[in-house]
Amino acid sequence: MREKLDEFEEYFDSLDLKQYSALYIAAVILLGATWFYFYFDDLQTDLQLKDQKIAQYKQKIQKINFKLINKKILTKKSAIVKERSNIAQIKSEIYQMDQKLRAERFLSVTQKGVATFVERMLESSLKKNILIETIEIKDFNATYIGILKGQREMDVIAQGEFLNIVAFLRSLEESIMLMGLSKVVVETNGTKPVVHTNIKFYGIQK
Amino acid sequence: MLAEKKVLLLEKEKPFFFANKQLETGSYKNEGSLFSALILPLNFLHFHLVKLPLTSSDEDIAIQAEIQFYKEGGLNPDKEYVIDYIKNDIGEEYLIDLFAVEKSIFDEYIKSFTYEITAVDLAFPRFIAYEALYNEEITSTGIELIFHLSDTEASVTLFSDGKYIGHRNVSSVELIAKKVGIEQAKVKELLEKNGLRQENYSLDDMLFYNEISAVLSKDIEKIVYLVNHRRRFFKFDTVNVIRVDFNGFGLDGLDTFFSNFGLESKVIALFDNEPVIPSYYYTPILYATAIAEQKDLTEINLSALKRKKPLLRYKIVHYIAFILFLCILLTSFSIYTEYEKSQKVLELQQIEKRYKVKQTRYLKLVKAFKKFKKEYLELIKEKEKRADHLFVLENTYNILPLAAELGHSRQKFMNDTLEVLKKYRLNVSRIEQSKDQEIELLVISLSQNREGIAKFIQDMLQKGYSSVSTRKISFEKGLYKSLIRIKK
Repeated sequence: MREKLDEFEEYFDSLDLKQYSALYIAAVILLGATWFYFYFDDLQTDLQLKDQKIAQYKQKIQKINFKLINKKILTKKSAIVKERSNIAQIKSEIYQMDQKLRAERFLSVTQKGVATFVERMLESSLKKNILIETIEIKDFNATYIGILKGQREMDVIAQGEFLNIVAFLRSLEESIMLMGLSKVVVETNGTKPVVHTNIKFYGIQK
Repeated sequence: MLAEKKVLLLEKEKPFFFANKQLETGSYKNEGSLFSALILPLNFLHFHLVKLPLTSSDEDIAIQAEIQFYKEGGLNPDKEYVIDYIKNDIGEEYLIDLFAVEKSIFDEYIKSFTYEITAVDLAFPRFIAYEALYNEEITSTGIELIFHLSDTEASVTLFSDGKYIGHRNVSSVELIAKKVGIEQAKVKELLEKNGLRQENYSLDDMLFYNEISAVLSKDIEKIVYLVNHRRRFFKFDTVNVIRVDFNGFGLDGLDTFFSNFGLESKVIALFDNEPVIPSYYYTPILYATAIAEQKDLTEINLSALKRKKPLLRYKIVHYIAFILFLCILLTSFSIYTEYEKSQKVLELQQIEKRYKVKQTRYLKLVKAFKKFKKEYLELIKEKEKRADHLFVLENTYNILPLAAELGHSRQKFMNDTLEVLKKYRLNVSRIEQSKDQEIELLVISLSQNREGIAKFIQDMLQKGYSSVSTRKISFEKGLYKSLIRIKK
């Protein structure tokens, strides 16, 4: 061991000041470079990456605007409240309007109503000397106006004097039900005129 | 000046050191850490003289001198020597005095001591030790010569301004006795008692005087040769003073001998007064102390057992320590940077966590907002739907009076038609009223009354009906038939 040390010492002693200094400088450079390339360089890159990530997160955090989203939510909530109120208002108006429409009794097409109509029609035909040949009542389903829909239709074929027919038809139209003669055909072939009419009844569907 | 407990002088029987203003006997075991000095017997030494150019470095001198010593100085190449030299600048060259001692002889000598020696810091011939006196006690007068004569060895040493410039071995008391053929003790006694003055010797001793004088004369011849030899290199005229150390005292009558050989120098005793310790020890201890204190003295060190340097004084150890220091420095910096990194990782984790918490909260709010937005849109749709429904209801309600009037409208259309038909006495074979918008009539009239149809049309138009048209007009058996279409 000592011999080795002495050998090294002899070598060191043989160096002049410049060479001796160069050995120290070489050690600094070699160790420094090794440390830098195998450790510090990667570490620095790693630290830079982490700094970048931190900066990105900070930026993302800054972008999160609770004030704005809360404001939007509040605005939406108040709009919802307003719209609910509007809907309630409309509902109320609908209810009122519905009540008004339902108060119009003639808007109901019931079996009883149709039967009364037929009964009065027969009475009128007797009075007007009209001979009813056919009465055919059918279901009828077609939109009329708004919520009014066609509910029944009635085909009537009758015979009588022309003016009586006109009067008869007029008497039919005096019914309180919402109805209309959609088609009236009066024909004569030298004999008594024959009327063929189609009556449509309209009402609110229940 | 002697320093207390500074140097341990190694003598065969025991070592000595100066302490408490006196010479003390020590033990190598206890005082071995002191600077150890050994006086080498002159008969161990090999001498040689070479000259080397002034341009030579110390390293070159060491190498060249050693080579020449082996080549010309009679050293045995098969043996190992410890070599040292004294370098003197003689103007154009270096004059190199070379000294060598055979290592095996040195080792044997050390082994012959009564105690074990592990290190000899300085091994030197006694003659060089006199230089220390110039440093301490003697004021040099220029060129001086110190004549040393003892029982076992004798030498002369030449000094210039207190610096060694040459030496020569001469006959010791022992050698003189051998040459003269009388006992050593007798020679010593005669010299101490009578010096070298012929008149001091009795007739009985005169023979001895003559013999001793003859031996000494030969030695002085050698000394004069040395002086002349060195005079050429160091350019001096004469030796100013010759100092004599005969076991610490002078040697009366020696000046006559030198004078006989042309050296008219002043001959005096080396010490005016007895030194604090015997001169035998004083000069070597003084020299070793000066060397130990690294004073500017000519040094000859022929120790083959030099003290091993403490580890901490090795340059390689310094270098390794420096590298270790660098490693520690870099490691410390690495630890610091690792700490920084861990802080960054922590910061990143915290900010990531903070972001996730915020983002989760934010996404919940966004989800809530979307829910509210959806609800709002659904409400808008519902409102629109209900508003439409209300609109329909209102329209239905508003239109009801008109719907109720449908029969009247149809009847009026029919009545208007019948009224105009009656006005122009027109007959119809068929009337078809579709809803209340259109009436189609198949009108029949006599030929003389045919203009009634036209009037009928005209009247109906005048009543405000938008379109009254006739087609399929036919004439048959004196009757006109015409299909008339009236539109509201």
